[in-house]
Amino acid sequence: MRIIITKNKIVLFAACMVIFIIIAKLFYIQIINDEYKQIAKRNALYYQTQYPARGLIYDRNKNVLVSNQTMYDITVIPREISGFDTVELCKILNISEDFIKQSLTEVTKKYKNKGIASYQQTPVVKHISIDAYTKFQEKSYKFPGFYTRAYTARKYTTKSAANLLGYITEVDKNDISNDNYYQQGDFIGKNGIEARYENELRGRKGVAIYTRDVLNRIQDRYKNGEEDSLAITGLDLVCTIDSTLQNYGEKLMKNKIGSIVAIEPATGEVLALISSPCFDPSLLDEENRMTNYRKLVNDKYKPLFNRATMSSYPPGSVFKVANALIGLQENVLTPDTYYSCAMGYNVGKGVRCHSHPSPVNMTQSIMMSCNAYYCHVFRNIIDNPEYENIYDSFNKWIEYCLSFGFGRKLDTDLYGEKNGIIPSAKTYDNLHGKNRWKSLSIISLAIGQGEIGCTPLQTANFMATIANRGYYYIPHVVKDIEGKGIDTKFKQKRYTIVDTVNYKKVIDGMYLAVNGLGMGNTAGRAYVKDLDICGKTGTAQNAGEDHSTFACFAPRANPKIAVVVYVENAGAGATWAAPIASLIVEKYLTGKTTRPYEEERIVNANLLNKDKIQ
Amino acid sequence: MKRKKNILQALDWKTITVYIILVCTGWICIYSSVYNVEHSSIFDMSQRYGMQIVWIGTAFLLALFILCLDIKVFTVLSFPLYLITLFSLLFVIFAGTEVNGSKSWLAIGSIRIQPAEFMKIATSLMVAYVISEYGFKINSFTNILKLLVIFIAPIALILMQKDTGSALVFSSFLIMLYREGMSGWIVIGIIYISALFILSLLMPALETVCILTVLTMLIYIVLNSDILWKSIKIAFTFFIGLIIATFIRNEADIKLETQYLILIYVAVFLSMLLIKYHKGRISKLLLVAVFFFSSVFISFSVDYVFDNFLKPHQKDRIEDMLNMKVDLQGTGYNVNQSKIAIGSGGLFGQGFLQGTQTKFNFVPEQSTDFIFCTIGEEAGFAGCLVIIGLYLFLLFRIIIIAERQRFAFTRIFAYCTFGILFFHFAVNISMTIGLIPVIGIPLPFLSYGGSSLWAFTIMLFILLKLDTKRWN
Repeated sequence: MRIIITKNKIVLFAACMVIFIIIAKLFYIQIINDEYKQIAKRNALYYQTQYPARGLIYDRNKNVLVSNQTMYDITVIPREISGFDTVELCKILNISEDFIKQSLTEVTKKYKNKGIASYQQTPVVKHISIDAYTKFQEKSYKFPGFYTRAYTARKYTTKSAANLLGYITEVDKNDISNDNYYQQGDFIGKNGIEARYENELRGRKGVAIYTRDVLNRIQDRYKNGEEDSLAITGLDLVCTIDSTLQNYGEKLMKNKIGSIVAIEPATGEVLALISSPCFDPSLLDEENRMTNYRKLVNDKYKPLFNRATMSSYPPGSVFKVANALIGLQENVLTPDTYYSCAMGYNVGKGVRCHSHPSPVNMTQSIMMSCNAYYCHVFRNIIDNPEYENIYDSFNKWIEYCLSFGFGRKLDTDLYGEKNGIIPSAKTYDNLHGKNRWKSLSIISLAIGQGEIGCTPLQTANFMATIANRGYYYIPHVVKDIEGKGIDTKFKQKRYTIVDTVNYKKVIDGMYLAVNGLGMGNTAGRAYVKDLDICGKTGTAQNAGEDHSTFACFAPRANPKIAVVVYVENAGAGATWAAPIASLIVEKYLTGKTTRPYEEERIVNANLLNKDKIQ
Repeated sequence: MKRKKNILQALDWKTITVYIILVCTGWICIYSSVYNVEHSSIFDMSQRYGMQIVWIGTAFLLALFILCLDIKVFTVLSFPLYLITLFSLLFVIFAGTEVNGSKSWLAIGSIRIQPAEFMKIATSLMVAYVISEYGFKINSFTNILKLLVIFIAPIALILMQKDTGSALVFSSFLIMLYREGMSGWIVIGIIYISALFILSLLMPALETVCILTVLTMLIYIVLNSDILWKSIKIAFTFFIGLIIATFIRNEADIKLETQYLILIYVAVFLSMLLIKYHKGRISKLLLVAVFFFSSVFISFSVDYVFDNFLKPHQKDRIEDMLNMKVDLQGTGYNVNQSKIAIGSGGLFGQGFLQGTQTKFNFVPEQSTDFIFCTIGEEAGFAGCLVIIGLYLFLLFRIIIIAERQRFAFTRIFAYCTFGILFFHFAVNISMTIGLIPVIGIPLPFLSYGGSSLWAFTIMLFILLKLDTKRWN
């Protein structure tokens, strides 16, 4: 059959084609694609979130450090606002008229830009007092469109450990896109324990679903509450911190920059973690965060920077103990090896030393902190003929360092833990050229200087390892999550590749460094009667004045605590770090201190700005 | 065969029935889209549904009035009417009221009228009068010039009011011109050039290529209209093949952007056609190929030139002219909400007054330009089909009416009506479902608004009045 084509048929045919395309698209969005129905549902049902209380944080003695408090906001639904008495509202809320006018215009502007916001409660006045809240409740009928919103925020009973605990803020866009659990207005932990244990602390939000009518008035439970869910309270954490010790440490570190880390060697539990300057965690609570956060960020001493886990200091003489252990294990050093010291190690560029009796054996070398001795030891390790070349022996040395926990993350539960620095052969290849460097080129490593950096946490862990004679537990700050216990990785002994017997040999030296009165010991200032502190001073050279370091553990026989103290730009280790560390040890072991003069000298010392003096 | 009938018998009642159904549906949709509990009386004049009753009532009166006029009025007065409306357009530019960024409203007391709506009728009458004159030949140069002046004057004035949508409606006169003897090539050529430029600027490359592909196949069918069924079959095979090709691309995880896939596919398909089906039709096939690839080339280069060579202020000017900025930012939201509303309708919709998106006024302008959302949400796909069916029926009736005329004047006017109605209908629905960029024109008979309802009513009833005289 032949159809006669006339122009009117072509016109109709073309029209039909267009209509066909329209119907096809309609079919797609109405029947095939489900997405639009989902969005529509979200618009029409009112999901009232049930917020769980966040888990509490206790210290190791079950004192509450962080709890919750209820906060109150005034919110508005812009399209419901109609004539109200501004003056009265301001009187009730105790705010200025300008303030309320300004925040109201902000909210209504938003509402003009985005149609949806006009149905939503938006906060206009934040953090009103409970008095204002109750007063407003009584008179709320006078203010159509104004509502109240109650939610829980953090309350800090402790005045210390701000960096360790962290803080919570309202989620931002990133948080929401990273984890779809969060919605606008939720809180999330930032920094410290709050961030690391966010999943445990936050609990689970519940939801009550309502249908709403034309005027956004809640009508009924959706499906009689079948799809509702209850909020589950967050889990309480018991952390390993001894808040008395933490407070005491922060007091000692007043007006000093630096860090104290104290670990219980037998468990790896962190007893105190201080990064100075310290600040009151309440500065970052819901009420004050807005005003204080910027101040803290802009503070030139960077109080938000957690020096204990993030700052990589040259370990200085403390590292001699590590080299001694490596030398012993590699059989290039015995406790009876004597080397003489002529005010330094005068080979090549040389390494200077202070004046002390000579020659010294290994024990004495630790006690007197002889630089020359460790230059010999280090060259013995690196030039060990057992190894084919310097790369093999140097890599072996690195292996030891890594086994001590230097140069890598310890995999702790502390927030923002940093690697520290242990140089690789490549570092020196780049610096000197391949095969162009020798043991003498890297001799600074012998005394913990040069291309090496350890965080206070790593050094403290090393002290705990020595205290345990060869193993450590991964340091951690949380010891129990509401009866569930903690990750088993914190319960496993981690052995280093140095034998126990060798640890015992270096401990003799560390013991004498503190207790060897009159024998040329370097850390006599850390001596406390009957406590058997074993320690090693360090004076870490750097661009400014030296950092004062001291690392120790006590008591010698059955160690209860390992402490590391760094005081930036404060000079020799013996002057500041050693007495601070010994006070910490004394406080923890005996509950009191016996040297009020020393304590007073330290608390009153202001060692800020010393980097400028030079 | 010459019969005398009275006007009631001669009236095309089928068209009137569809008209009334559409207008009433429109009112129901408006009621639903602005409904709220506080103002539930249907005669509440502060609400749009209350006002629309007034508009509908007056529209009916207007219809009656037109049916009572002598048909000579339309021919004799076409020129004066055209001039008067043109002047009112000019007047609006200087003294009009601005609504939503376009200064196209004439405020008389509390009533606002949009002269552009009536310009369409006046132009239709004017054109019908000119073309139906004895001795008019559409291909003569002077006549073409005459027509151009008639069209360009109102288009220019409407563009000056920044009412791009209404100006675009004038392109629908091409349908009438095509029917009245203008070569199909000119229609296609004009669509080809203007659409290409606008599409390339407004749309991503992929969508432009898709539209061009569909267009190419339409042209292919038109070109081969002497073997219509065969060419339709080939077009059908083409699209099935394209879907399969896309499917294979997805399954085989080949990293090829869809627009390039389509380009390659078209090239392969056309070469296969050349070998297999088209002995002796090579020139037509080449024409299609040249059309497709040159348009893709032009489209891509328009984008390229726009992005790389134009200075910012030049871009701004073009974007402003095309209303691109306003549309993409302001109504990107509209279209999204509109699609959500229509999409949530499903097969049978949420039911009258139950549409949640409609209730909460999620879609701005829902009672005017986006009235189709209400149908989509509350009556679902089925309801949409009914409404589209009604329009299709109306459009078919108009063609039937057009083709049964003995006087060219009526036929030409009928095709103008067809074109304008079809353009409004297709463009409006397409924009609510995101097929094309937002062009702010109302859906005939359904959208809220006095001007548009009056204008479409007047137009339809002039046609119906003219139709009653088809025997003498």
